[in-house]
Amino acid sequence: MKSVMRWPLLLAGFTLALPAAAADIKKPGSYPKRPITIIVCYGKGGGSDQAVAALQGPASKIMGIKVNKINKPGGGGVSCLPDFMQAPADGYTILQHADSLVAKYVQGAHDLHPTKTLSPVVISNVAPTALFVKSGDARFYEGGKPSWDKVVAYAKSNAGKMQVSNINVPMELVTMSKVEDHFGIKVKQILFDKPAQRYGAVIGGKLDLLMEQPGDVIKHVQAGKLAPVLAVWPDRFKVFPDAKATGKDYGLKWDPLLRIRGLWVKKDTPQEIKDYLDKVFKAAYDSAEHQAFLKRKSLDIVNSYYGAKDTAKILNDTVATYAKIFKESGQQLRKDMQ
Amino acid sequence: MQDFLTGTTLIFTSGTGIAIFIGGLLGGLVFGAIPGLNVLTLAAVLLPFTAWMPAEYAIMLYGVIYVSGVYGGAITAILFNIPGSVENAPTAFDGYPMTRNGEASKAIGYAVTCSAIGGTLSAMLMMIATEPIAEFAVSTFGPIEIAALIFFGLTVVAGVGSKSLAKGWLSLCLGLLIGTVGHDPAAGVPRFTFGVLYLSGGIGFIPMILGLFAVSEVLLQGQRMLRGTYEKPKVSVDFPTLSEFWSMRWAVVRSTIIGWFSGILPGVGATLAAFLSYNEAVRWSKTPEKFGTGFPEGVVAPETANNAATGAAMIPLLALGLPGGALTAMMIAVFNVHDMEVGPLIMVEARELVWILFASMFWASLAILLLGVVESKGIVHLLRIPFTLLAPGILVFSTIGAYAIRGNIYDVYTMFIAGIAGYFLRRSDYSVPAIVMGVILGQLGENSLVQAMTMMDNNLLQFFSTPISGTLCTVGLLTVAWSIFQRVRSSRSNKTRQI
Repeated sequence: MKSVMRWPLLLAGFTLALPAAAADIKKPGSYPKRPITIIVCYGKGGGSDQAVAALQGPASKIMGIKVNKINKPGGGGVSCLPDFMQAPADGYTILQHADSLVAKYVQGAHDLHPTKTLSPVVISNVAPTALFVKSGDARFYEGGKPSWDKVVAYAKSNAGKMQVSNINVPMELVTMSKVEDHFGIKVKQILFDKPAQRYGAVIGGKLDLLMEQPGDVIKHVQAGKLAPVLAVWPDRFKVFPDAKATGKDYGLKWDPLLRIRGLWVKKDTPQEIKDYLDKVFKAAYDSAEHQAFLKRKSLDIVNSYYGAKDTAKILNDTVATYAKIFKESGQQLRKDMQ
Repeated sequence: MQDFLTGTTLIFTSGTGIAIFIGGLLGGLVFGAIPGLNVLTLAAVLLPFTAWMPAEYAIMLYGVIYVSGVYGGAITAILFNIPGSVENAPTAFDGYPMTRNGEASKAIGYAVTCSAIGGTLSAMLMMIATEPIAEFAVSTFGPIEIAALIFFGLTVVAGVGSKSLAKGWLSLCLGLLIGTVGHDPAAGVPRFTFGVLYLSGGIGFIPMILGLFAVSEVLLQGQRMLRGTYEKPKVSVDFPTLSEFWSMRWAVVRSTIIGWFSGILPGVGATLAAFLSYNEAVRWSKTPEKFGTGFPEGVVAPETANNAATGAAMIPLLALGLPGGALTAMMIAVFNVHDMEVGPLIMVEARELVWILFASMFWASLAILLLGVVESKGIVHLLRIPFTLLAPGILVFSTIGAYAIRGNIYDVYTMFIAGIAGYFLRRSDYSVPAIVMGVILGQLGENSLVQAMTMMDNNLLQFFSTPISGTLCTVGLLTVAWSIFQRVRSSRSNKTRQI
């Protein structure tokens, strides 16, 4: 067994693992002088939770204070917003959210514009989506490998009966609907807020398909519990070379929606604090600890980092994208966008 | 057995291991007992430090604080009507009345012994059959079965804590209604929020139970003091006798089974275990009317079940990587920090660590028995403090607890409003336990119900299409019919006697 004598060495190792730039980040006055809380809008153990957990340690070390994490799932990512909005605009309460914050704003589910009411700090995760089946599910296997063609055939012969484990977030709902349209199938979507229940429903054979980002469930794939069956992406993912892609293999011409996870502070937060947090989370993102997490979770399929300025542009573009999608598909749109 | 002995040896053969074990045990007990500072707070505070600990100590620490923290909340629930955590709330339903009846020490004795039994049996199950049980749980219980399970639990709630069945049902419905405030879990639509930002996040559960239990109790006892009818609780240090324990054997067996099943269901955990097993104790009792008045089985059932759920929660976590609750999800982070992923391969890749976790939870369950015996003899003397000093202490303690959860002053207002409401509801013989169970089971059940209804194309009869959900719904409906029949029969016989 490893000796406790290695603790100081490990501490020194982690400190050294931080990028050199982290040491040069100048604090704005006395900020931060007490712990910072990040409100995570989805359940424990899911992708959002893991993304924050991976930044927590490096950010704590850079700022020299503790960074706490509170999960407030529910309402498809809306239930967390009151807690954040009731906190003062002092940089001590940070919101972690995803593209769903933007989409739900466009739908009118809340009034927090992602760049006008809030100030984005960083995008730390960008991930495409895939579909998974229970590993070894004979209905969807051909030649010993999971086959999307078999899934489509099953869905067509059981019209409207195939059940997909999903989350109540527009990105996934729109993506699934695009897949349904392209392949001429109709499925039933069962929506879960808690990741464990979402994954467990397919692993346990209660539901047929799971829609999720590869990095969030890669451990279940490696453990032989889930098998990737379709990449909703122009090309096959390097990490899942056998799973066909909607673009290259099936000719779907569509810019896939991406899971974007980032951090926000309130608009009235002092600018020097926003600038400081921008630098802190850039350094935390670049830390060896966080980079190892990205690699382990296959979150390196596309570029995952954008600083505050680029994030604002991406979010404004995403507002326009969702407004267009919802308008074209006749879905609910906030009144001032109709 | 070899693995268990190896795990035990690795914990107890170094001074550091023993110190971390004892520290975790005491830390869990203290944090579990303080409302607003539950064991999750402790786990979150410790998480960054685990990076610098050897993996075996980090994993062991989390196993120990999980077990002791779930028990710790029972003490304040019994002595002061302040549940330390949500899963200890049902313990207060009968634990606090036992204190008022001069049986605090007995109540703590039951709580500590049954926590230890539930935790130990659960740890043994975890050691014997982690993988097959995990597979069974996820393949057997989907949204339809979980929704049916919660309906089954709700059907006995109306009979708890109220002499009138109608008031019991009204209390349950009030609880279910309160649970709907905020964004609905399916579509995120705001309900009963009246444009108020605080309400759109839902009514905080901890402030509400602090108000309904602790604040309303202070108001009730204060009123009795003013009227000169206040009776100071008698302080005794009697531990339950062996024959008293023996009389609880079926309650312990039943609650252990309920705790196991609740624990192994991903995303369900100890809270549902405690509430369901309290309800089942009522359902199976020959004297259900005694529950809520200081009936020992009302302490035995939830405390056995919530500790039984701790070991069981490790099963889906370790075998499938599916956490049952917040603390088990933090354990994933502890494994990740040490470059390990929980899931089926963990038994191969880190077998030694898994057995350290199993062994630490087993020994922690036994250790709380020893600590609890000492506690039951000593801590009850707090009741000797005059109520005029104790009441402000309880109010301050509760206020800090309500505020500490997320630093929001509106949670304190919620606590006092719930306290005043609880005072009037209790005076009018409405059931506070039924309200609390309505809120918690309603919130847990709504998600599953929405998912089940989508799966069943909104056809309620489909609940009878699977053996498990069909049985649960049938027994639940029969329970409602039987309780109504019993009440009608007893009111008719009362009328006949009056004539």
